[in-house]
Order: sequence, then C-alpha cells, then structure tokens
Amino acid sequence: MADKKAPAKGKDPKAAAGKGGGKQKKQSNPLTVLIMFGGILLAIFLPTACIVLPGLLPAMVAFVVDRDREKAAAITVFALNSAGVLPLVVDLVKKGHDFDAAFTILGNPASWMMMYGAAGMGWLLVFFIPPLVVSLMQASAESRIKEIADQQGHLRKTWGNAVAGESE
Amino acid sequence: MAEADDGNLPQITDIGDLKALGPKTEVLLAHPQPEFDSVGAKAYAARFKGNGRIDLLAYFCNSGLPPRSDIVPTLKNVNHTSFARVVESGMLKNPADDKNNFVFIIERPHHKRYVKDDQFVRQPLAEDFIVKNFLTPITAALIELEMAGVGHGQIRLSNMFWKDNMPVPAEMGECIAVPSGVGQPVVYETVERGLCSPAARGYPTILDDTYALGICVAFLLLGQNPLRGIDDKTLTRMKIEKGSFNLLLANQRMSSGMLELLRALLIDDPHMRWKPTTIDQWLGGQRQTALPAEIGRRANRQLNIAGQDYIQPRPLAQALADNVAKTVELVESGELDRWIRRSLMDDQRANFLTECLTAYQENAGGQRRDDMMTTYVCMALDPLAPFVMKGMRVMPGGVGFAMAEALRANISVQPIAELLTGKAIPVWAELQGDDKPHLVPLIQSMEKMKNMIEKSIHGYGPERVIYELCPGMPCQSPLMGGHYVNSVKDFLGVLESMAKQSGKPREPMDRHIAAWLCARDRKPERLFLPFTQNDVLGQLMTMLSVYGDIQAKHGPEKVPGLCSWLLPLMEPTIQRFHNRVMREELRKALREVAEKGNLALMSKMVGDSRLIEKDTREFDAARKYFSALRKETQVLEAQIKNPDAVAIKYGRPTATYVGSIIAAAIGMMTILRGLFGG
Repeated sequence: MADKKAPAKGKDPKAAAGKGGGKQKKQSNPLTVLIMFGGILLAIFLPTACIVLPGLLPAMVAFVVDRDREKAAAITVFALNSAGVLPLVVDLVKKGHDFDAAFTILGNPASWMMMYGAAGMGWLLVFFIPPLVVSLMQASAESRIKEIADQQGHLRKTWGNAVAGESE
Repeated sequence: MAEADDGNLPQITDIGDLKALGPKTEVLLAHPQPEFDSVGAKAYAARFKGNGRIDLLAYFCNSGLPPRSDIVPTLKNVNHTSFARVVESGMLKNPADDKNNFVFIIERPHHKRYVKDDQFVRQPLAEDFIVKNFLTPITAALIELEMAGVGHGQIRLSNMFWKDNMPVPAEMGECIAVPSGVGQPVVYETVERGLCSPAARGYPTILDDTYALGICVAFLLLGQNPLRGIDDKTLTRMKIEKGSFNLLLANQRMSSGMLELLRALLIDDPHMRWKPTTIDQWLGGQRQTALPAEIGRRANRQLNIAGQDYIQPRPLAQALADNVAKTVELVESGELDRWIRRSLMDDQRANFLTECLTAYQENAGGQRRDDMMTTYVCMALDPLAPFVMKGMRVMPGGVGFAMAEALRANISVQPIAELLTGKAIPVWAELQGDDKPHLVPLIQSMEKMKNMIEKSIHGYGPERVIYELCPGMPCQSPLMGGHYVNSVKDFLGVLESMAKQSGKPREPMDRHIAAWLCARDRKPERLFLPFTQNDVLGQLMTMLSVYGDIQAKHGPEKVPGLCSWLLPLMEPTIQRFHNRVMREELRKALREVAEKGNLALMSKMVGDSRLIEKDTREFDAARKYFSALRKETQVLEAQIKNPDAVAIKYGRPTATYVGSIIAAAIGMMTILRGLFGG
C-alpha cells in the first residue's frame, strides 16, 4: 500500500506547475486566440479567408500597436472591424463561397470602405468614449462628494466631532 | 394674660401662636416659661390638644450638643409622680431663632424649682422630713429608671421641683436636653466623672445617680453646699484624697441610720455603692452595713510633682496627666516603678504599670510618644479614672460626646481620635478585673469606631464616629443651616429649604451628610467613594440615587429647589450621551422634572443604562459609517485628480463594451438578413 501511494506523493511538482502554467497562457493571450481563429478560418474557408484576412488587417494592426495589457482598444477595433467584415462574408457565402466571388467582393472599393470604415468607427469609439466616461464619472464623483459632505455634516450635528475621531 | 408661677398651673387667656407636636400635644409659642428653663433648653407652656389646662412643658433644645433623644421612647414608659413623664418629642421651629429644634414635652412639675443654683444656704431640714418627702419619692422614681435601664444624670437640687415647707414629694427635672454631665456641677459627680470635662463623662449609670442623690440628701441636712466656691479640680482632688463622705460629712451630727445611708451612697468605690433598690430596703427598715470607704493605699514616701507631694496613686495619676515631662522622667529613670513597689508596696499596680508600658511601646511603634506614654501610665495608676490624652480627660463611654463637644467648640478631635486608634481602650478593659465581661459591648463598639475613624473617605472619619456614638447628634453639616435634623424623614425638607437660599455651596453634599446618612439611614459607605476619588459623575449619581431613595421612602413628594440645585451639576451625566439631539431632549426633560421636584425620576432618567448602551451602540455605528464615508470621499477625490487613470480603468473598457455591443448587433442583423433576407 505504501509503495502504491509513494509515486503519487512523488509527482514532479515542476510538471504540475508546467501544466497549470500552460493553461494560464492560453487563456490570457487574446492574440493567440485570434491567430488560432484566423488559422482555422484560413484552413477551412479559404475564400472567406481571402476576405477576412485583408479585411481584419486594421484589427491586427490595433493588436500590435495597443500597449495596454488588457488590449481594450484592440478588442474594440476588432469588434467593429469584424462587424464590417461579416456582411461581406455572408455575401460571399450567398454567392457560392468561391474565389471568384471573393475577388469580386474584394474588387469593390465599397467593400474596403465597409471593412476599414468599421475599423475606423472602432478607433473613434476608443478615442471618444473614455474622455466622455471620465467627464461623466467626475461629475458623478463631485455630486457624491457633496452628498457625503452633507451626510458627514449631519452626523457631526447629531454626534459631535467625536464621530470623526476629533476632540469636541 | 396672667400666669401663676407658684406651682399652680398658669392661667392663660391669650393663647397666641400654637404649634402642634405629634397628634396629641400643642405648644404655646407665645408663652415661654423661663422659670422652668433647663441647661441647654428653653421651656414653653404646652398642653394636650383640646384641653384647657396648661399642664405640660415643651423644651426647645438649642445647646448645639446632642440631646438624649435616644432615651425618649424609654422615658415615655416611666411613670412616676416624682419623675416628669415624657409625653411627646419631635422637631419644631424655635420662635427665638426660627431654626428647627429638637423638642420634647413633659408633664409640668407641680412645684417651683427648689433652688436656683447650688450656692444656696437654707435652713437645714429634719431627717424625717427629708426621708419622707425627698428620699422616698426620688428613690422610687430611680427604681423605675433602673428598671427602664436609663440613668438620669442630672440629679441635683437645682433640678428638683419641691417645697420644703409642706409635706409634698420632690420631683426630678428633665434629663434629656443635653448629654449627661453637661450642666451638672462637679460636686454631684463621682470622682471619675468629676475628672472629665462635662461632655466627656459619658452615659450615667444608676450608681452615679445614687451618688448624686446622696449629695442632695447631705446638702438638705446641712442646709447648704459646704463645698461651694472650691474649683472643680481642687474639689475632685479633695474627694480623692479624703473620700467624698469624709469630705462632706466628717464630724457632722446625724442619726446612725442616716450616717449609714450616706456612707453607702457617697462611697467612692462604685462596686460598693447602694443601688436604688438597696435604698428602698433601707427605707423599709432593713438596715444594711455599708463597708467603710476605702480611701486607697498610701505610700510611706511622697512623690513631688510640680511642688506638690503625693502619697496616693489616684491623685498622683491626675498630677502626672498634667506633667508629661515629669511622667517620662519618672518612667525612664525607673523611679515610678520603685515608688509603687517599695513605697506604695502595691505589686498589682506595679504589674499594671509594666503591662501598660509594654502596650505603649507596641502602640508607639518604636517612636517616642510622650503624651501616649502618659495616657498608659495614668491608666495603670488609676484604672477607674478617665483616659488622659494631651490634656483631655474622657470616659470610655464619653468618647462620642467629647468629640461632639470638640466639634461644637471648633477644637481638634485629634487627641480623642488617637485614643481610639491606639490600644489604650483594650488595655484599659484588661485592667478592669471583674467588670471586664460587662465591658465587652463597649470594647466591641470602640473597635468598630477605630475602624471607622481610621478611614478618611466620605462616610467614615471622626464625623461618623460622632454620629454612631451620639444617637441624638443632629447632622452637623452647614447645609442644614443650624436646623436640628436627626431623622431621615426631616432631612430632605430642610435641604429643600436651604436650596432656596443664596450663597449655598456648589453641591448639596459634604462629609457630615455622608457620615450622618451612613449612621442614621445605614447607607453603604461605598456609595460615597466618588467623593474621595474626585469622580464628578459618580458624585452626582450618588447624590441623585441617595436623595431619590430618601424622597421615595420618606418624602417630601416634591423638592424642586433641590432638583434645581442639582440640575447644573447634571451636565456631566448629560455629556455621557453622544447623541446631541438626545442630550438636548434630556436637558429639556430634566428641566421639566426638576420643576416637578421628582428626584427619583431625575435619577432614573440619567441613570438609564439601557439608554446609555443604545446611545453607545448607535454612536459606534455612526463612527464606522463616518469613517466609510471619509474613505469613499478619498477615493472620489483621487478619481477627480487623476482622469487618465479613470480613462484607462473605466473609459477603455466602456469603449470595448460599446464597440462589442454594436458589433454584436450588426453581426446579428447581418446573419438574420443573410438567412431570411433572400
């Protein structure tokens, strides 16, 4: 019995840590997910890939240029860039999902405008929403500070300065 | 108005101001009776309610010394024609000074005072007349007193109401107004009592009374006081040296029976003196043999103290009491011991001296205490004599009254306190031989007093000892304004009247009140600890609870003056509450209750522990909430100061969410259009 248990006890801790560490890496890197997703698309839906790969180029650039650890800007650009690419993919599927249809779509400047315009919309969101949020939050904070001051004033009135840990 | 003063009842037509005392009697305040004034008390006419006959006397006690109010209940049951029966007692305002006095009412004597003072010279009276009209009735009255367990203590001819030209029984005057011994001339006192200051003589025994009776009989036989004009100290020394009987009646001619009686009454050894029952047997014809008075052992060599030679230990003890330096010299040189052993040849007394000096050394704790040594030496030389301490002479039973007198005269009670705190009293008891078992209660009481006087906190100290040992001692606090207050029932009423006066102290409590309440109302002393610990809050709570309790038990129902007095002192109790609103409400409520004069309710309001706990609990919660709000403010302020961080932390994720939602919506619409749009 002791012999059977011994190997279990003697498992290599480094190996265990390595397993856990691998899982963490896969989950935490969106770029890897994106590449894998692209690879799958490329392999299975090659005509689609002909549209998607150049169409998602702004998102890829965004992932490269976004230095934020959370990659919030890149994700925003990617989301809208994808929204711009998706109608063309649907159009491709409707047209038989072949290379001719793909190149026809790519040959249309409106297709590029749609894909890159959507990515541009993403960047617009990235540039304009945070300052808007900051303004809103600051206004809200100022209002809350006033409210707190009122509440503290009321507490002082009821309980005296001792409630703030100050001498009377 | 016409008043007769020849022994008949006064005929008063204009009654004037009447004050009821008790349910049955009333005092005629407009009719003082100066011919019946007593030592320390003014007499007024009094009567039973609804009775036209002015056959009572009311005595207003205003000496400042404690009246013997404790014996009043006993004396109400002593019924004898030669003793003015006590009818009622209580508290009344004295018309002379508008202060409450202790007042007692007795039956009015049927005759005038026999003599105004004891310097009189009258026609000597016949033995038969004295025996029939003086000795017989007074002895019978003394038997009644003996049965009641009370000594009179004021038997003297100037306190007798009698006529010696008619065959009427003599009547004794009152004995309540002042402590026994006060106002009593030394000539009527036994040697031991005569050595003391008047207030320090203690409770009288019936044997002290029979001695005074013997002196009265002797004076009546002689028609005068042959010892008048002699100062007290000399008189007592003469009594010690010659013996009272020899001093008064040596070489006087009288019947052998009378000689036998007076020898038995005037004997200086109290163990051999006749009691009233023995006098009664003598009056009944049963002749007894009184032992000859023993003047005491005499030494064959005199000791010279301050120019006077002494050959007896008792006078020597008194001389040494006044000569501390000489006492120390005699003791330290061994001269005193040699004199007792070789000249006086009294080994027992020499042994007493050794015992006393051993006790002195233990008591002095290795320090030199000449006064204390003198106390012990005098005790050994004369165990019957009063204690001597720094010039004061006090009988063991007179300690309380001596302290009361010292307090009244504003002199230090320290010598008496030292007497209590030392070991003199137990040592004295050891020297009393056969009397020792009877002294056990006294010794126990003194031990209790020792414990009390040693503690300096409120409720103890000399004040407490005075109130414990003098049951008639009213509360001596200046807050009582000179009113006689010796009952808890009267206490708050007087304090209330004082509350309305200006110039009163900050708080209605002092050491006297605390000690008096502990003695009379048996309040626990620990209640008064905050006064020693300077705990202002505790002091107020004590006053409120103690006075509230008295009001609930004894009234009066309303004391708005006292409540208003206490109101400003209540601020610390109000400050205990954290909640300002509650404080203000409490202030307002207390003001309202103070106007109604309800101490108990005030006490309840500020002492409500549940309310205090609730306030504390809520205050803690408020403090935590305040702290949380402060932290929140700090976070918000940091947010305002640092917009970039806010943009990164909240703005970009928001852009992501918005972008994702838009993209999801577009994607959903595109797929749906692709599937169903054709």
